Amino acid sequence: MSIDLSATGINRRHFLGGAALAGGFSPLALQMAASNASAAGNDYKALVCLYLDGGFDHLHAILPSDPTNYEALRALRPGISLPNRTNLRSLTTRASQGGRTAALHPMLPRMRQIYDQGKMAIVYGHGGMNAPATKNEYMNGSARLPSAAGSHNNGDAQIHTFGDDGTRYGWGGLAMDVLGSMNQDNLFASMGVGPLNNAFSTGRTIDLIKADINGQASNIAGLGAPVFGSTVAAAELNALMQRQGLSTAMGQDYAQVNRRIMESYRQLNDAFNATRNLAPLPTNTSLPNFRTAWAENDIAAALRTVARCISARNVLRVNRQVFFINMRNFDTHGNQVADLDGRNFIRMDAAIGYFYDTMAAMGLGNNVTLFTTSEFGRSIRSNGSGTDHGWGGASFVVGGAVKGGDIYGSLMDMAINGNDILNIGNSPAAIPTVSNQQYCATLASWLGVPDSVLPDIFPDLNRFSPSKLAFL
Amino acid sequence: MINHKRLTLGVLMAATALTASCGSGSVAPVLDAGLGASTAAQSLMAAPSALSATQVPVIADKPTSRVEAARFLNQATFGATSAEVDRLMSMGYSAWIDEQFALPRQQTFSKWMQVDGPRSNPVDFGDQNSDRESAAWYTLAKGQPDQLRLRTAWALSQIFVVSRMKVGSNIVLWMDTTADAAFGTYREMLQRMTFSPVMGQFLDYLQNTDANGRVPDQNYAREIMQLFSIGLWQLNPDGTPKLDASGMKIPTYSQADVTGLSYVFTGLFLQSGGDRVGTCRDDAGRLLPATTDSNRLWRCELSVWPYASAREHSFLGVTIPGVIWSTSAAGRQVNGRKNIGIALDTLANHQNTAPFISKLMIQRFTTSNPSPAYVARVAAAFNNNGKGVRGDFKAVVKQILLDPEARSPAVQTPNEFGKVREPILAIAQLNRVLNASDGKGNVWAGSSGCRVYFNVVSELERPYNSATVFNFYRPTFASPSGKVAAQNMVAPEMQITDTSTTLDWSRFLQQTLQRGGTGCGRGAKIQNSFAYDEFWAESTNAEQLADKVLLLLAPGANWSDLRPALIRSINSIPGATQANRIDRIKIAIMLTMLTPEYRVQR
Repeated sequence: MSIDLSATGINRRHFLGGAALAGGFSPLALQMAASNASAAGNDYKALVCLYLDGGFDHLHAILPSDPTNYEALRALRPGISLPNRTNLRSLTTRASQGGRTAALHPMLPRMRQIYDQGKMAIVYGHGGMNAPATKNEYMNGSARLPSAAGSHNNGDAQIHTFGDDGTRYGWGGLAMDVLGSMNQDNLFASMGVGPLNNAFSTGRTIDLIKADINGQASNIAGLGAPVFGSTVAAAELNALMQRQGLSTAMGQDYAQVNRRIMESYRQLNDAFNATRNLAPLPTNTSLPNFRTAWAENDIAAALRTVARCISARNVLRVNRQVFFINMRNFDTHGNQVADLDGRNFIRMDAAIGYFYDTMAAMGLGNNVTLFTTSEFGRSIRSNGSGTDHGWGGASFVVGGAVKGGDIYGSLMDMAINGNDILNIGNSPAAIPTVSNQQYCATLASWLGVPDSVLPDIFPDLNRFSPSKLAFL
Repeated sequence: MINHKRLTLGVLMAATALTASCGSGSVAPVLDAGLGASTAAQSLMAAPSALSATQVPVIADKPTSRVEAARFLNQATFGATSAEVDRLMSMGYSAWIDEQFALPRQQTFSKWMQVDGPRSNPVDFGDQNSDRESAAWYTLAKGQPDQLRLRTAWALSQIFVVSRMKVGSNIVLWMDTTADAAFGTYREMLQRMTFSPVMGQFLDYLQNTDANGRVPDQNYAREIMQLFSIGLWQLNPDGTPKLDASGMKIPTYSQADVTGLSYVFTGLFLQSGGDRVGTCRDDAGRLLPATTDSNRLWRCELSVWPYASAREHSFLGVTIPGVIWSTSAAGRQVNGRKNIGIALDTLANHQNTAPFISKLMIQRFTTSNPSPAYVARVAAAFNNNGKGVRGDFKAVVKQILLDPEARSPAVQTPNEFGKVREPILAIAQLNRVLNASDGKGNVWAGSSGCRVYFNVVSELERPYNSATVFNFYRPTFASPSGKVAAQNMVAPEMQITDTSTTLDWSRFLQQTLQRGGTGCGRGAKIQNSFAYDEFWAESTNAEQLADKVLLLLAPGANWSDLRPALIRSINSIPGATQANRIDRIKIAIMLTMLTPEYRVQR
């Protein structure tokens, strides 16, 4: 077997496909998407987890826009320039928030549109906690802070596994353990695209499988063709790689990964071949922030790969799926404005907008829900050019099934000594009012996990009322 | 769930190499104390003790076989060669290690980057898309004689993590910092790290201040405790977690400690003059006595300047005074350095530090699941090198490598000892056994002008390029559905061994062997050609070739499946022509390096 090492396969021209329309999708792609949708019926559902890795500063993305709270935030954050308040358009909400209003950062214009269309919800003020508690209870010690609060590992665990760092199983995988019987097989029940895997993806029986971001799939090199001229060597290699029950535990795990490649590559290859032209990313270089938003946006590219897998769900033999994508660089201790306004917001806004449009065009808007997670929100005060680890945060939920255009949870009072801010070891943080478990249980429930099973996955869920939120 | 098999080898500890580190007291097996006490603690439980400290067997200082020699060299270097196996067989482990400790650095990453790389190969160096920083690393890892120092630096770099993703080409300076610090003390490492402009850039404490009502950046204060010294949970001397009355793990610090410590790391500036004089280094790593050259800012220690906090602050029960602003600038600098010194002393002397750092170091060299007794012996060496020095990395490394659990297969818990080989170590080893070179002694790491190769090696693992401060993988990771997790063990490297990267590894091997070299430059040019001398004499005889490949690549593995498969595969190609002989070598290497026998290093 010979592999061409020149710039084939992964170059940008090929990667972006032959997009005929700037900023949109080619007619062919739309046709394909539509035919796929009609062929598959409407039973399909998927959750797409976009992990904002590092600790998402919700206060900088969902800005207070009423004068009192806006000015309070500005005063608490010297060195972090906020958009002028007069440029902020407050988000409408179904119920009044007691005079408090919020606006999306102007660098999130596409997400703003989707919110206004009622297809994006904001879940505000959620965080890792084991039971509801008030500021007073935290201060007088009758309520405990979550274990190792403030560490990335534990913040990650508190929204993906609900255990300590090192907990093996996450709620995406556990949900698919429950729902696996709805799939013809579960090889592709839990997929990931891009680097940095997460325990979210794995359950007791469900294991993560990765899809190459560039839509390539092949068998382990050396199998299926002579190895340096030897068919005997290829056969021997195949036998070696098919072994099960190796004596060393690590050898078994490594062999298992190899076997999963051998079991999956044909289907993945078929799936990618069938979707080669599906919804290419825009190639019009005159689009705003083209490089950041599109040319170098690996999150948009990863979401396109997700869309291709969803489009080929019949090939992958699935009706229920979870996907995981890690978007890094949200740990904005320094250079926060440059990193968020100038980069992460542009990337996230473009990628989420692209994915929402693509699912809608495929006729699967109601079947696929994208949501964000993060370890924690960030500290209320600036450290000069950035923010440190906080506690309560906020997330976005996007899709046709979402009861969007609303904020779920109470916008916070930015008064530093008020009831919504806790000074944890001289570092002020937002007190969560919604548990991560309520937030995530709502998503799992939408995917189909029965209420009776939710507490098995979300261990403290019964301590919160309601156990599910209304955004889905 | 846990294999309780224990070996009771009734041999008293006597090996001279071990006395220093084992002398600090008996280490009782603690295995059963925590079991079942807390589900919260179980995910961090180490593998069971294989033997108690009073039953440590004698490890002969001479390797008992060439396989044992090669197994040691694959732990202590970037890959065994038959010449080095011969040397080790005759000189013994201790003398080999001591020789390595004494070797001066002949090449630095900075000097290669500034002088030797561009001078010797202007074409590959001049390619703007070339991954030069990786080339600096692969060149030294492949060719430099101070292998143990560079291997230790690689281990340190995965604990004291700085990533190129944030600091760019400055990473080369951090490569040298870890290499320079490799045979010093832990406290010196803390000092170099804290005053390193590169770490300051990476963890955001350059120009950190509490002036004008700001709160200091807490990034470094948090991670120096969580990742670089004491960890999240209180530990016993053998690395197992301490548990409270209700069976829960006990935190080592609180947010208040993070906040308090953040005030200590204020006032560190990248600025010329002042207390930086005498701290600057040239490309070869030598201290320059009086340089205040502003072009050299990144090669000097950070300077303590105004804006160091004047507030008193405390962490971990230690109160550290603020800098007194009324004193002179020089006085403030002395003051500020002294305060930082108190903080670093506190961390270096904390009871958690020895077991925490020792276990991480063991995982980088020998095994992912050291027994508590192994951790305790290495921690004892950390606490006292036998001459009253704490945190001597030489003593730590020597104990890790010469510990009976590392050296004696009879002591290791069967089928548990070892670690998954990370891609970088596998690539470095391929470069060594096939003597990859551009003809000038350089080893290039590809160029984005050769996209397929570049994407594959980028996705696998690039040196000093982890996505976050949490390294490429976390020390507690195990594939959730796998056998390792079921046995309550860990295999950190499996976190980057998924279906995508494992496919990439096979493609990398296939491509490089087919092309006859690693590295891929513009126009798909091979950058480092292989030479087959190491296996040439054996290549006409299938048994000999299989044995040689297995000796160097998979010593310590069970060869019962792989060896006959290699022999049959090799024999399928006649050994007559030069091309045939090269194909035979490639087949043997390809099959070996793809199998679990290779990827699990024992």
